[in-house]
Amino acid sequence: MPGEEQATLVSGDPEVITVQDLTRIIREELDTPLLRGISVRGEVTNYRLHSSGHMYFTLSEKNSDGDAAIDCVIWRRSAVRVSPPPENGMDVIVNGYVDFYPPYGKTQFIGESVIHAGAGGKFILLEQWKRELAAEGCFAAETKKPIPQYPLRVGVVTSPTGAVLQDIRNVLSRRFPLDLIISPTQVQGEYAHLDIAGAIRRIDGHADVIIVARGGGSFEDLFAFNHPDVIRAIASCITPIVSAIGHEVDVTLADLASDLRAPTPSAAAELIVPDRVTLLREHTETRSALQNLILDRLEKRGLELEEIRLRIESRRIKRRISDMKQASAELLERLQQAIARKIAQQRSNLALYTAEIRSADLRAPLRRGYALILADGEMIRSVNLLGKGDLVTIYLQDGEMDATITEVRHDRDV
Amino acid sequence: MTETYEEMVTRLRDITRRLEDPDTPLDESVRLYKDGIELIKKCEDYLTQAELRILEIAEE
Repeated sequence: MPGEEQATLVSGDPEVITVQDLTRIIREELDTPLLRGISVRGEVTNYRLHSSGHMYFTLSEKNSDGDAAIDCVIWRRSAVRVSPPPENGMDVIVNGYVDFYPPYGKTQFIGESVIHAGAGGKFILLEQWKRELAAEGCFAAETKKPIPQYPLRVGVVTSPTGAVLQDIRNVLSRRFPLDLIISPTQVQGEYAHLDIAGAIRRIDGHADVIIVARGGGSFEDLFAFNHPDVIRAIASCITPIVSAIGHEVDVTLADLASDLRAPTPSAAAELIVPDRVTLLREHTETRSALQNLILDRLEKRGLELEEIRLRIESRRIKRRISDMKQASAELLERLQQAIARKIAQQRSNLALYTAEIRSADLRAPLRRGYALILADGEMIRSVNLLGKGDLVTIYLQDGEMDATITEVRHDRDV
Repeated sequence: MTETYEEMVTRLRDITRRLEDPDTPLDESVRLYKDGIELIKKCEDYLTQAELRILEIAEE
């Protein structure tokens, strides 16, 4: 791969290059697909676990055509997941890439995962199973069954002892009242896959959803969950299955076959079961929503009624009515006043008339020559009322006179 | 068999929907409201009182 760089090196003028240039070139040359994402098999020698958590060892090989070795590093992030840890003399397969480290001028193999060479076989087996089961449609997306929203019975396929069951139980009892049906099984070991498949088939149809769960472990520990027996059991289940196997980073074939994959067992429980605290809050909200709805409805009806009442009893009519009331009140008042005046007037006329009548009446006889005698304003009709010396006034038609009584004589026969 | 929680929630959703529908007559709305409130009470009781039961499926 003669690069541009290469050309300058071989030019006539032997230009001296720096170590920096040299190591940079080496590093670039080593950065090829041939040396990346490859699996290298060899024996572990001078293994050392650094306090920083990084693993250092030499990957070496001794055989007839000579020895070979390469220094190997596994950074802490990957080293943590290597289980069981490598030991000197162990025949391993390391997956990673070649790197050249300029400061030390050292070529190293950066490992991302380490497994027993013996396990190597399992890797190959796993790939083979994967292809086989994929062909059978065990992982097909369209066969994925939906998880019920309110399951009443939750089946759990896991080891009867251990933290996994405990975690699931705690989460479920906190979140929602339901039946937890345990289908116990081995989760590790040579024949674990038979146990797991049996446990799955045994509980299939007896629960609304099944959790297949296992705590964290190495590639070998989880291997049973890749076995076709388990995968076919999962694929043939009528009940939806949620898988929670190993750490979040580990993906087993069971995870691919299940209807839903959860990062951890307790996460699986949370995914499939609603939380009563949220539900209770939602119910409270629904209650106030219903109340608002009915209150709005009643209010709206009330307003409509009000509007109708107003239209019937419109302002104008009301005003007219009150005007008429006003007018009639005024008329009444004027009437009363008029009547009162008229009455008063009549009364005074009456009084006048009576006075006149009374006085006119008095004068009529005078005109006929009679006289009217008053004493002290009193009309005198009888001599008994007078006595000698009394003063009287005598009215005649054309005037009046004062007189004194000299003598009184009674008529006996009146 | 008594109503499951899921059936109750479905009925509750239906009640809310009909209450939101302006065409639902007033007296029916009042009845729906009463049913809705009763239903919520039942759901809340279920959530607060019922407990987790643990069973085991033995080897066949």
